[in-house]
Amino acid sequence: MTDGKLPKQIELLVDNLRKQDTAALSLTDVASVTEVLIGTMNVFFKSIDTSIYRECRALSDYIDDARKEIASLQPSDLESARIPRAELELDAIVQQTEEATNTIMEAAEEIMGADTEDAAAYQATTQDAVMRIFEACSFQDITGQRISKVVETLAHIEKRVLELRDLLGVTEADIEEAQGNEPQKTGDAALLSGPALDGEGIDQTEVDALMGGMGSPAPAPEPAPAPEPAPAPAPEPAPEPEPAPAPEPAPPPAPEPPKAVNPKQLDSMFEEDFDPMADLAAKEEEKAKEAEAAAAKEAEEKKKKEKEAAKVEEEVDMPAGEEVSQDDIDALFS
Amino acid sequence: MAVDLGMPILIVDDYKTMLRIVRNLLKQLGFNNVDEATDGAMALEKARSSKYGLIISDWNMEPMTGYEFLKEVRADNQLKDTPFIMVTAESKTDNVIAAKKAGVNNYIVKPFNAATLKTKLVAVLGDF
Repeated sequence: MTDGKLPKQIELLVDNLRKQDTAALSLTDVASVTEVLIGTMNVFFKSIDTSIYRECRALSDYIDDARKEIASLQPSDLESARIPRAELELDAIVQQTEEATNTIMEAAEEIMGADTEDAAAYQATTQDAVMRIFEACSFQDITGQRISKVVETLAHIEKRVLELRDLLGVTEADIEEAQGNEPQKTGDAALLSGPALDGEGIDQTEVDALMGGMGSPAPAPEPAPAPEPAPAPAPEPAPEPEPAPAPEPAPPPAPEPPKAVNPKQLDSMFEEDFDPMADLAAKEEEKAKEAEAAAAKEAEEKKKKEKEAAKVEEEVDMPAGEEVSQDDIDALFS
Repeated sequence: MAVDLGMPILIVDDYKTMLRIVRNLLKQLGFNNVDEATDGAMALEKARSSKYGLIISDWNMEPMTGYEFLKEVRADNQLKDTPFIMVTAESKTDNVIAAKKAGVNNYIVKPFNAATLKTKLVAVLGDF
């Protein structure tokens, strides 16, 4: 029985009853109306059940989809391969830099302690030590490559986290709220941000200028007043409250002025339509595009390498993917 | 036939430090005529304009890798006989075999020492 038919049937029955004399209403009439009403109620309850079922089904589908999408993010790949690998690379960096430092220091000590009386022996010792220093310096190349791998892993993690954020529908407002809940750093912790990269922070000249400008307790006396060729024979200290002895005859060179802002940049900042936020957004967009292009290129290269490796594997009977020693390599070339 | 210690050698690496190390090691071994390039493309250009008695190249470089450079060298009629040693941190079996198949004369895994370099030079060029 469909929803549309029932109201019509009820209406017909009610009209029919109205037309008849109420006193003459038969039991059959009442029974038929009751039957129709029961049918209506059945349909109503059935419709309630279906909508609940549909809601539950939709919820189940959503959870299933989310599960599949999270699985496609390959968190297990991070856990089982990438992060442990990055840890190993970092450990190797620490170990190699330590070994290289020790080798260099030992060689330097050897040179320092070499007997200079015997010129030939001294030269031999020095040359040998210098060679070992050169060899040890190759750690920079190796550690550079290891660091690149760690950076690659971090970029991979960042990409996955961003995908997860998008999947869960985390908004900027949520992020701001979460950031607001983070405890604010105070004291030294708020000041510590590690070594600066190129272009960040300030250089020593600017630090010196700042220290001088703040009237810090500079150990060096003030430079002698050069502009005025004072007739006094001795460089008298400036009229300071304390007559400092200041034995240094040559005053340190005047600190360089702080770096000037590029005039073009300065002009653009004062243009009417200058919008730093829009400028920043445009730069961010450009960066994202570049990163996308780089990722595509990287994926293509990876595929190419995999193809080549597969081809080699077919032709040569050696375990693919394993690292080999110099001796194994020598055996191949012998 | 004795090795000509004055022959021009091209060393290729994107790390300046490594170039310096290899140059100094070669110098210690008696080779003074050393030229440098920082990637495969630059090296190929140099190799086509000058005649080198030996090429020592890294693998992992941008834009042209040492492996691609090696293949270009072996595909070039003028350069195909130039001795080529790969010096790289890539120490997987696949890399070594691929390089060998591409025609590399020898393969040194970084980090290496002067003795290893000398052994490989002797293996490729003969005793000196």
